[in-house]
Amino acid sequence: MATDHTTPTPDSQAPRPLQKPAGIVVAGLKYRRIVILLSVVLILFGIYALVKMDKNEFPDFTIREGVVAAVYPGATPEQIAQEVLKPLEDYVFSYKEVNKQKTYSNCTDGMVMIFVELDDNIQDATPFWNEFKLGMDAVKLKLPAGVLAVETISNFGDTSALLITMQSEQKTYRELEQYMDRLRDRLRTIESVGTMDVYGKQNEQIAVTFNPEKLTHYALNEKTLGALLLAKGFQTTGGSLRSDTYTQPIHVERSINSVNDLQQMIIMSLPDGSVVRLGDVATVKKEYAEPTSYITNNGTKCILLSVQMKDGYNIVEMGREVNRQLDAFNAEIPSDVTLFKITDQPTVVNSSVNDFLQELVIAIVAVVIVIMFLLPLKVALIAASTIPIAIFISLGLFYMFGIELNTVTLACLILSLGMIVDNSVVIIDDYVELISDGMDHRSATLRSGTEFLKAIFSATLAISITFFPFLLTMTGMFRDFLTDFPWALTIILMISLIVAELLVPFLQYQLIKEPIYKQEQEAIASGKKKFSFFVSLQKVYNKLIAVCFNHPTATLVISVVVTLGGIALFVTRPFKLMPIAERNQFAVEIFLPTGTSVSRTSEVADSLERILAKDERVVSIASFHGCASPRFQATYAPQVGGPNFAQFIVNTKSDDATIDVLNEYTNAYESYFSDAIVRFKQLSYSNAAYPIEIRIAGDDFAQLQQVSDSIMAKMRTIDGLRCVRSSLDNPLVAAHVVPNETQTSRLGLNNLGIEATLAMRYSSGVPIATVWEGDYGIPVMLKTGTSERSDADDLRNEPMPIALGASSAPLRQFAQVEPQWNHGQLSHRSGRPTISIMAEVQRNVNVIDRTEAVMDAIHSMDIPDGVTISRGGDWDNSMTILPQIMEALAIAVVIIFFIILFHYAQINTAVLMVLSLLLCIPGAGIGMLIQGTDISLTCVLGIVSLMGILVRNAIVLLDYAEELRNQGATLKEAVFQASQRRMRPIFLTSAAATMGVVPMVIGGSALWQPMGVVIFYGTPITMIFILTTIPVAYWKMKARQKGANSPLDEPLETHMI
Amino acid sequence: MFYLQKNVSAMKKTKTPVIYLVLGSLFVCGLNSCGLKKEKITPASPVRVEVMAVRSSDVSDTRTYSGTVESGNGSELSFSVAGTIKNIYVAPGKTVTKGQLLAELNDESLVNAANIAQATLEEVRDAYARLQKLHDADALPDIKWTEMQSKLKQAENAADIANRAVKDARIYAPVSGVIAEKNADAGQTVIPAMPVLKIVALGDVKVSISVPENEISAMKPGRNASISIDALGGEIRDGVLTEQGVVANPLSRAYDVKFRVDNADGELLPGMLCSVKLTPVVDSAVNSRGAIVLPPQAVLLSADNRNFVWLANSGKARMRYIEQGGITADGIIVSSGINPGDSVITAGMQKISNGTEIVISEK
Repeated sequence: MATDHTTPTPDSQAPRPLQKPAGIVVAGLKYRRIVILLSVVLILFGIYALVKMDKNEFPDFTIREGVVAAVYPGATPEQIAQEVLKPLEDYVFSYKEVNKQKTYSNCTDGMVMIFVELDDNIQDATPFWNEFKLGMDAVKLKLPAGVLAVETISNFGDTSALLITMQSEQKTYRELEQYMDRLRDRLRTIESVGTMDVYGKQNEQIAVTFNPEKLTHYALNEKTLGALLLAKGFQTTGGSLRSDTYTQPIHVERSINSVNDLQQMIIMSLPDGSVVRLGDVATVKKEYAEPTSYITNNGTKCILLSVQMKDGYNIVEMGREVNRQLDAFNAEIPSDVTLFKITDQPTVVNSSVNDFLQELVIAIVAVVIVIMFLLPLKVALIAASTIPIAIFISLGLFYMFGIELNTVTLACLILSLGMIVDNSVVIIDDYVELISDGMDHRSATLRSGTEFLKAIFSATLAISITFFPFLLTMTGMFRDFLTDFPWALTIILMISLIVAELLVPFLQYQLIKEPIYKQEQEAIASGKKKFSFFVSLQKVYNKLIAVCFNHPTATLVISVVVTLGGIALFVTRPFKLMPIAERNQFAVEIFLPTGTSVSRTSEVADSLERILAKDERVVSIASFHGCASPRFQATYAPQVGGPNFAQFIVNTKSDDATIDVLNEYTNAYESYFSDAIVRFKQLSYSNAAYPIEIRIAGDDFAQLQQVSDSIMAKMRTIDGLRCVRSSLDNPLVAAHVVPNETQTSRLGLNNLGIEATLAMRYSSGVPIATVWEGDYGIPVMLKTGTSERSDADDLRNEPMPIALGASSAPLRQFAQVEPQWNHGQLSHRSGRPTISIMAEVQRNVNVIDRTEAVMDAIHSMDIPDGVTISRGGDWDNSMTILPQIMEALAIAVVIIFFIILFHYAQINTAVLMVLSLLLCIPGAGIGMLIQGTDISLTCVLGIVSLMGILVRNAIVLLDYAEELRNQGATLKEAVFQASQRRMRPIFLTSAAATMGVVPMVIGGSALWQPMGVVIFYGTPITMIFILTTIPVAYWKMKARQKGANSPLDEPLETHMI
Repeated sequence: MFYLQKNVSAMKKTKTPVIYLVLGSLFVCGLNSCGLKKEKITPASPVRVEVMAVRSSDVSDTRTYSGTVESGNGSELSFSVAGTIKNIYVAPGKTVTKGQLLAELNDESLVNAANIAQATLEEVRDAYARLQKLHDADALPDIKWTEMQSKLKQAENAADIANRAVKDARIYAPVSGVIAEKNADAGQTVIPAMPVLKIVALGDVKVSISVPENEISAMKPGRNASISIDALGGEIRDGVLTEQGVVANPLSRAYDVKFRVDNADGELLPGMLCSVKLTPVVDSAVNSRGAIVLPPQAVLLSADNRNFVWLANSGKARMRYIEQGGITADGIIVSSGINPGDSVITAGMQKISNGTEIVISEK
């Protein structure tokens, strides 16, 4: 894409501006009508594009994560780790696309989940997952027979655009589900709506609850009962009647259609005609099963619809259409059924894009005002007009190239404001200067366009190109985040260059006929005009630069000292690469120890919900009991639900209210419930699951546990850490049934049979048939009284059927029931046993800093060999990214070096410029100190733009100096004059750049403010260095060089790239 | 803000950028209420935990058995003579009182036989009376007299037998109870000992349970049990062990043990299912000693595979190893390691290490 915009490069060789005006400027003037027409058409296209463009809050993130889950009922975590996890891991790690470092797994009682992380360079994970799933079939065969299901969930990363709850006090779940079906049918008609999932459904079931003892007295057992029911409810082909001409299928009527049918079902008939009906041996009733998970919204039971958007659609547009459908749907449902949008990406996107557009407009106005204030009206008008022109044309090009409008590209537009005017200002300024010197308009126009063409082209190229290394070095989410940034910036800057070269010469030729600067100076001198900002500024600067030239060493020393100080200031700023996301919502996660029942979890959740609901800043609380919400924000990785987990999505009145509520409640309630850990999770752009995670890996598990215990004890004494806990969780006490071999075999029992019988009686029931009521299938569940509540004594006394139910014996007759302690959760990371210690961090305290404190504490401990300790969490996230950013910076510096090298063909000039890049740092550091900003990704982007601005201004300044030397001035004189002469445009563009980011700084967006801060404070401070240090340094360097090769006082040769 | 610079900028040369900077930062800072809002790093507050005071409680042996109600005195009634049934006066399910006539045989031949025997007896008596006079006068040889005596006895017995046979043609209720079965009808010829009716006595019923062989030794006659009857909505009755089987059931390898249960109200019917819970024997060695039972989640596992609990000890959490003694309905039995009076932490264990400061939350 970038290459498309290099076309304006004039193919003329090194321009000697004095002799030969550049073709482009001449062409621009010659074909001015075409240029104007083209501009108008492109601007109109840009306006159209602005309306039509895809708008998103953020670039699409590819979530490269999937989950492999296997269910193995009755197996301890240890057993699962050995029997199931191992073969699965072998398979997962056989793929080179899998990121071994980040792939981890958790084994809990009866279940294993492997979180498969793919390599960051994978752009489209679908083909991988397809292949992976196919291969999984072969792996399933290697697993133990008891493994019930192995599931690969590859859409784990899909983010819901909308979460809509449907709640009602009176309607049953079944009715709600019917309404939900209708809603889904409506939404399905919308083109852009992708996958829709319903959460929180509760199914009706017909429970056949039997008493095992009673069955024995009928010489029946549950297996025969189950088989009987299955036979009644099962539909198979009835064959067909074939004649020569026609085939009629045979259908056998299903005999069970209602609860009554079931009750009356004859399960045994005796020769004497007496019958036993199902109702005699079991109670049959229709019920909602005791839920393992459910969702409420503001305390009312509800079901939840998650709506995803298909790729490549405009989310704002989709939101509008969904709203239309919702409104229509609302009209047709009863009034006690209400809909509520918990998360509403379209609205968020719309408002954030609108906010950013507003900021852009404010920025443009601010820049225009500054220009108006600083420059004579006509000059200002021309310069300012280039901003909207360039922006609209760029928007049109964005649309053409499929670059969407999101906060990243919008930030790019804001960032570039100062640079857009820069190109035009340089040209106009030169033009006015020239006519002030008495040159005629036409020549002045041509010369001004040509004189700096090479300089501004090199400078523009330098700025554009410096962002591309980020695309090379960054991986993963950050890469996705930045994808459009360099392209967008390049487009804008190249457009501004073309506008400056094609349109501006014509405008200035038409509008500016008088030597404005001269008039101004004369006016001041004659006392007609009291004050001119630039005249005064120029006076001050002239004195300053004179002082600097008189004390070159002092100037340089001061610069070096300030730079070093600035660097020191900068590197001591705390790190927070990805900031929080400002939302009017936040998440609360409630963890209870393994083994906690849903009802206890709900108790905690409900009381916390009541506490939160009292706060008037809280608008709504959607509460997920025993399950987790779908991924409602790209970087919010939902937890894996379970009976011991609950989650809220809390909506507040405003973004600020979210912060206030979090500040107030986090400290008070994160440890309020003694058996629960409550995480108040503010949404952020960091995708780390926990802020601090210390991973202890090794092969000897007992040793791991010992180390983790002592590290945990240490961490609990560190200030600023909260809720330190281990991934091992509390152990789960199992009731371990140990059958006595002799007794069991004498009774004709076996372990499998015992397990099967217990599984039937101590689970929530075994589905054996389905009763259909229209399209609503109701499973028939066979269960016993011990399915819902039971204790160890029930188990001991459980009558086990002997000889197919002819008799029974209590379990304790042939087996012992003992307590057995198993680890709550065993984890592997990169295939090695790992214990993670997670910790929260006190609110508003830097996470990286606390992680370092933890590591310091750990280093002072005695860690045995064979145990490796590594850091996860935010630290890991940042430290993976940091080297990539540093590399990108380094490459950017190298590129700048080569651009300058090409430009000047002098190594020492290039080295000087590269060194002078460090002059950006003090400004950035001071700004961040004043604003209390942390070092973040956008802050680095800001620094890169500062570097670009610095190089650009330096090139313009030094080019002019070389120009003067070509005209015969001495070195010192040339540099001195050039500084004085270039001060005005440099000041002007710096002021424009500074003003452009004011809305960004004031806006206080956690994501973009750091960039704004760096530019706002960095630009003026860097400018001072550009105008003082660089000329002096250049002069001193050249002087020394001149001294070295004395006789050849050759003017600097410049080359086009 | 640039207007402000009018006055200042002219005065001092190097001030312009500085002022620009200062004003700029004030401007941004003011609007931003200065972003310097860092909190002081503080240690975590003491962990809230829930505790339980350890106390010794009786661990009852709560073995339950599945039982069936059996009739206390069930008897099959039959005629002891052969004959044709004349009438049966009751139907199954009918309540009868002791001595009530239930059934009778056609007794004509029996009555005749009795009459013949009676006649013979009269005749022998008469002969006896005559011979007695002779005997009293010593006119009869001893041998003849003895013969006569024997004849009389025979005739008396024969009459007796015949009369009894007439009586045996009727079945009277031996006890008060309910007719459970009726196996014959009028007109049917029965032979002696063939069951005709079954009567079940109420008042007392028996509950029979199967006891595994390793538990049979505890089953001593006289043990009490509480019996809950499912069909009566789990109503609880007391029972006393009365019979103990001596032969194991070949299928379930268990022995039959029976309890007598009062059934004055007649609600317990044979065949009902019940569950039998033995009342603990007070002087039994196992049960007399109290044990400490903790909720399962309070007992944890250390890295060296030993069980431990967290004790709340003057505001700090302390780890204490214990020995477990099995699992009951209420939790884990602790056999050693803690003593009554200790405070064991029962919630919040995942947040504490040895020495962590704690506060006890009132639940």
